Amino acid sequence: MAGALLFEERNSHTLKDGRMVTVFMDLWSIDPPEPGLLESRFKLSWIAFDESDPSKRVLMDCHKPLGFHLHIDTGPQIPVTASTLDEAYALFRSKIAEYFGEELEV
Amino acid sequence: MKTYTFRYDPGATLDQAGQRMLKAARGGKPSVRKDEMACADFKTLLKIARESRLEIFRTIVNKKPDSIHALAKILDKDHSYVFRECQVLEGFGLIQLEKASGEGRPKVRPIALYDRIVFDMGMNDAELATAHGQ
Repeated sequence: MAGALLFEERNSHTLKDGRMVTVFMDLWSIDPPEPGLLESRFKLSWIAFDESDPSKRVLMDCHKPLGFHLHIDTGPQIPVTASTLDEAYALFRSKIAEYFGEELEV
Repeated sequence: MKTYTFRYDPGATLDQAGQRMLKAARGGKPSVRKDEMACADFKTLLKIARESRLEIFRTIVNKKPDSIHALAKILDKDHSYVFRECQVLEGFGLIQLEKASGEGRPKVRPIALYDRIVFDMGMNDAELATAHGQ
């Protein structure tokens, strides 16, 4: 299994109420494709955490053998479903909005 | 010497980061920004890279404390405050928190991954657009 890092960014944002949230996203392409990965080829790790308390976080992962799953704070993994990378990212956005109470635009 | 950059970048919104990621995935052309943190507004940048936080990082670089407890002692700050700040520094990718088992209370050692910090506040819109491949 060979992996190529396709994307990595770490950005910070301020919510309307003044809280700051840091979002770290990376994405790997795995060759050859493997079942259990997103679209059989993407391994990812996305995390959004509260800058005043990093244990307050939304974390999404997709890696073997767990597949695509979510952690809230330091809780256990919760399996989630997405069939495409676009769907996975939309889900991550919605979980961030749900957890932090608003969309992160700035 | 390894350098970490705090960057002002109007394109560092979640929307635009998502677009860059999906473009990299579909086009196969990597978009990798290692060793940096970007903010789409100055206010956030100045808050996240605040003086008290950088002082903690500077102490880790120079004093190489063997535990958070030792770091808090050097800084004469509350342990829980220093621990939380170290978690933030780890989340930024500036340090690594290494858990060491041994006798007594488990130690967490902060290890600096960089020894220089740069603030990059590009003001040229055309240059920033080029950086995003626009």
